[in-house]
Amino acid sequence: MNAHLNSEKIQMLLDNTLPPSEGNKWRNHLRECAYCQKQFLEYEKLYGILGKEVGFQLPENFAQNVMMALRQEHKTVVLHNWVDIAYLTVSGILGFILLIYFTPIKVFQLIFGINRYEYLGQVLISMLNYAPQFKFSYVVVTLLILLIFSLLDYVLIRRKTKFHVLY
Amino acid sequence: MEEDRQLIEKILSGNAGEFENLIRKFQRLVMHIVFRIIPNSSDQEDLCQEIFLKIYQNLETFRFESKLSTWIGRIAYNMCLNHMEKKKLPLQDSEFRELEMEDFYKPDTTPPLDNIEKTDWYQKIYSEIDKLPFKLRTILTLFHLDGFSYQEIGEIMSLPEGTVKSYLFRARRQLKESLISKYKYEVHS
Repeated sequence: MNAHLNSEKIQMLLDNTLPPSEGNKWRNHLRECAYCQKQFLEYEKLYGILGKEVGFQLPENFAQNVMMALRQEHKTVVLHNWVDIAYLTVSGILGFILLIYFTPIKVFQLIFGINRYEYLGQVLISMLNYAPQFKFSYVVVTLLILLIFSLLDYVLIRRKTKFHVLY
Repeated sequence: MEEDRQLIEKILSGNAGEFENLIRKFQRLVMHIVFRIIPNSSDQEDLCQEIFLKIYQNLETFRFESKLSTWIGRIAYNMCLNHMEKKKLPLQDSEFRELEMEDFYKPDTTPPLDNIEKTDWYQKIYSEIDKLPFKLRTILTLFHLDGFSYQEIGEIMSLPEGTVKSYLFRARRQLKESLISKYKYEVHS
């Protein structure tokens, strides 16, 4: 075999990716060809150096640092859960009050019957007495308030919680 | 594979402390990818940490369809790309072009490196590696330091197996050629 090994064949030999018969053929050639031997040894040396881990370093306590960051995230999530509960409770109460406040008296009369007012309690009765007529603009205002509330929640709380913790 | 499965099951069942073992097991891999791709050393450690937090966040979604190391490698690689994009670092090196098959099988005519061992091999090689396009640097690292196969590297970097092979061969040849040219320059200067 007169042809020399090209760089790809040498690399395939070193990677052991040549078919066995072809690999043996080129190995025989390498024993006889000084030029190819030199090329092969250069690549072999390059492989040896590429396999050495130089220039990489993380602190020894890297794993502990990550765990600490995770625990920090966990605390934020726990805090976030409490804020969520408070948020839901306040939203629920507000929603209920708004529902009653904006519901026309006639609807209430239809649902509960005219004689049921006294059972809703003194506060609700007084609210109903002052309830204005249903207006679309009130709904828009309410939605805007909720939107601002959600945006504040997202900007101030959720964005700080970058990672959701699994436990 | 079974060992990884047990580790993940322990973590997901609430034993978060086991995650520290996972970090220890794969921190070298993540470090290799980050340090090879991200040039700014001040960002490297923070990014490694963010990658592990992301791994923790997504551990539930790992379906054992690939090796855990490949999955972690893919997260690390993608987060490095996102980081580069965010920091507006060049993702595509200008001199980097797709390798053509005729180029791939062109006979190597570079002269042998007869005397290069007289000089500092390590310093030369690592400074030359840093000059390679980031994809080639990453492939070299994943193959030689982490022992991934062409196929696994392809999975990590979303490249076809043949492309990985071509890039790898090209990286080594380019590295060897640049070392020779630099060595000659030093001899004549």
